[in-house]
Amino acid sequence: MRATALLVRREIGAYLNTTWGWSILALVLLIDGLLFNVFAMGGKEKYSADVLSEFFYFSSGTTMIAGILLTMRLVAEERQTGTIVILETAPISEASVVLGKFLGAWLFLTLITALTAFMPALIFVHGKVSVGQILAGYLGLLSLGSATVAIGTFGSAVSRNQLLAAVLGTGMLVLMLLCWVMGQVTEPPVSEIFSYMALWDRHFQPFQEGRINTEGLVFYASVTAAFLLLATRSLQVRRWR
Amino acid sequence: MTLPMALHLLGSIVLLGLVRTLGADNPLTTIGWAMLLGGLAFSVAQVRESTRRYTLTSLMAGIVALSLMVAGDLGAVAGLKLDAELTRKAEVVLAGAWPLLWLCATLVLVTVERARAANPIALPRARAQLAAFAGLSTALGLACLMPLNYLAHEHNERWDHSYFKTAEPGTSTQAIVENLTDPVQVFLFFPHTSDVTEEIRTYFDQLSSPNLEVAYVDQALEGELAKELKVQKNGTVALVRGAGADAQIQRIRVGTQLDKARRKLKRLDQEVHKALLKIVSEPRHVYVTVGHGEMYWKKGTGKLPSRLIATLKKELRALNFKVKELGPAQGLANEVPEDADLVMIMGPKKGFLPEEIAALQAYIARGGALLLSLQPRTETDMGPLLKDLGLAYEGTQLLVGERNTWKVTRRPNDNYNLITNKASTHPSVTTLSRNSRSTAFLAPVSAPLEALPNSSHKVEITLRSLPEVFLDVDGNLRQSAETEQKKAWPLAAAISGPVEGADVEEGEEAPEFRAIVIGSSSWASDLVLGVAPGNMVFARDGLAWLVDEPDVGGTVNDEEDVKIQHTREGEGWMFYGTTFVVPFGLLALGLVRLRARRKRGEA
Repeated sequence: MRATALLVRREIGAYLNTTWGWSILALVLLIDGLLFNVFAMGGKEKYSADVLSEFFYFSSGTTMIAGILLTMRLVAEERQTGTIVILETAPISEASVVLGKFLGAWLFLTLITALTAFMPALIFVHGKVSVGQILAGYLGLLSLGSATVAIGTFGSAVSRNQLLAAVLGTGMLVLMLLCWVMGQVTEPPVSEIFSYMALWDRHFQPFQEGRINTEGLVFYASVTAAFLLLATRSLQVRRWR
Repeated sequence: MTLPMALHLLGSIVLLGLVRTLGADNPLTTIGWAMLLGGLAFSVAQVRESTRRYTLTSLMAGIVALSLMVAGDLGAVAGLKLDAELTRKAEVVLAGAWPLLWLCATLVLVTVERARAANPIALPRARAQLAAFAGLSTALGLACLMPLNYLAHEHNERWDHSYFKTAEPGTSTQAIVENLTDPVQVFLFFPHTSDVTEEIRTYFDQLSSPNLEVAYVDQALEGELAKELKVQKNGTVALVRGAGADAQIQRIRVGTQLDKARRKLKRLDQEVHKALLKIVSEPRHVYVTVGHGEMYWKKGTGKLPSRLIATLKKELRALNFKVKELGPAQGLANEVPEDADLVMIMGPKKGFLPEEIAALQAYIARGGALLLSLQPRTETDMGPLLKDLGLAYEGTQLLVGERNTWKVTRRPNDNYNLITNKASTHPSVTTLSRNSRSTAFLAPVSAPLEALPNSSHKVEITLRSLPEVFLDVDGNLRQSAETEQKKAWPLAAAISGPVEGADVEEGEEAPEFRAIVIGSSSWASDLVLGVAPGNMVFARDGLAWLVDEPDVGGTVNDEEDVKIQHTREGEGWMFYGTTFVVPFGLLALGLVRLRARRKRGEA
């Protein structure tokens, strides 16, 4: 646990002490702010619940993008710079390495997500929304973010460089997002499996509307666990050399 | 990727695809089988001693898994001739077992082959074993997630945190209840187990009156009562005044399921208010003039939303008014009907006939109530009627605001849409006056009224514009300091006066006529009432005063969601702040921090 905590601190430090981390933070807030003001709050009048729902809709996209950008460097950068040897020879299990890197990236993503809270707070000014509704939406964002970071961590673990890690991570993410399309064109029971596996369509929308489903929480936790397990195995394979 | 692994994966996909599309008995499936067996053959020939056991076992396990799949597809379980229940269970087990076996086999194969690729020269047995175990544990770990998600799906718990609040009784509803002269019984047909019961109880606990009795009953247990009140199921609120054949009953259907009843509960006060008005008083008759280009309630007549009054008509009905037309076809030129409790003239664009003006004057003289919304810049000449009321209205020049205006088109013309909270203490604007900090009146396209001196009636200016407003004499939407003065212009007036020649008994109040005149007509349009809650408040209080029915005025609560819109013009600071200031501010903060760190490091 201590080793994991050290790695978490190291990763968060890597984001906060580099231009890259702050740039991603500013980029996400800029895009969120633009989309919020132009589409969610701007345009014609909308019910405040709809404005909040649209905010979470746009934020889910920026969260997924941020997740891939934050994770592409996790392991792949270490391979590129040669510091992977230190990790591989350190008296620390692969599971601790993966968990530490995942938690570092996810906590930074949580920080970015938390910094967007002033936007739904603006809806309070004239609208009728509840704190519970906003918190439910953020729980959805953090859950989706957790799954995205896990996918990105796996992509980084199996890639030789950051660009490949980003491409691989994005590819897997898009595949999981598009599972809902597969669910439309196949027949039961396969269609039900694909529909369930869709990362956003079925599981995020309730959070967007202010509803918490245990099914969604278990799904996102499962995706996170699955990809972290695969990332751990991938790192172990390297040690078999 | 080694050849056995590639053949195994490709063969599995081909076989699965062919079985699903063409059927397991189709000869083309031999292609898939050939690939799988080819992979097995290659592995026997090529695979090293240290990994042979694991590779061969994985490949054979994969073939067994796919065989089970094909057997299931061919109906092998049915061929075992078990009883129906066992057959069903066996099919379910088979459907779950073959994917699990295939997954275990494939992942073990992948990890062992990867370990072999990472050690091209020699792979110790222990490492091969480790790799096989890693693959197997990964497969079992992933497999465990499937029943977990299945259980989560079957036993899904939901918590709905979207905004919901049962409306509380408004001042108008409370006033009706407090002023009840006859007892009113409220029967709440809800079971004890329903979540809605508590919401309903919270509402009615806040309505207290000696003449209001609230009872909680279950429709299933009080069949006779339910039949008498014509309540068919639980989830209904029945308000009853009187008994027997003369009983007046109003029913409100709410429902017993909270998620379905939420919408009704948000508007509960509106529903109860409407029901109470219907049972405690006889309906009043309001006549709305037509035939002179007035605002009307029917859509599809080429009218813009700024000339429609469907919302106002709906509100009148909710306040227990019967709405009728009054125009030339209905005999306005002769007289206003005797049963008219109120006459409304809503933004006429054409002149009234002298006979019609005379009929209206006679109506006022006999103690009638009039709501007159004037349309600026039209041919109508309401001068004689207004003079009787002690007012004058030119209507050719419009009032223009500078800051507090409603931005609807985002052009300079929006400055005609005045917003004000300057209400007097007159009873017709009580609620606006008391809530001036939070509620404003929207007066689009207005011209000022003028109170004539030496009027014999009581004329009170009830609404004024904000002091920043000027009368645009030259029509250029800009103030000329010499000719256009900024001040608080009169927008609405309330007039009352005694009915001449009326017989008044001792102790009784003398009957009087009442009128409200507003220098704008769009204030009551569908377009404006939808966005300006203050205007609806003004309408209710005005109607309450005109018909001398205080219960009609006041607030009626509603917890329905509201529409919002932020524009750059209206809330520019919010737009620039959220879009640019915060992100770039944080970026600047980060860069400053990094620079400070670098300097510390150099030092």
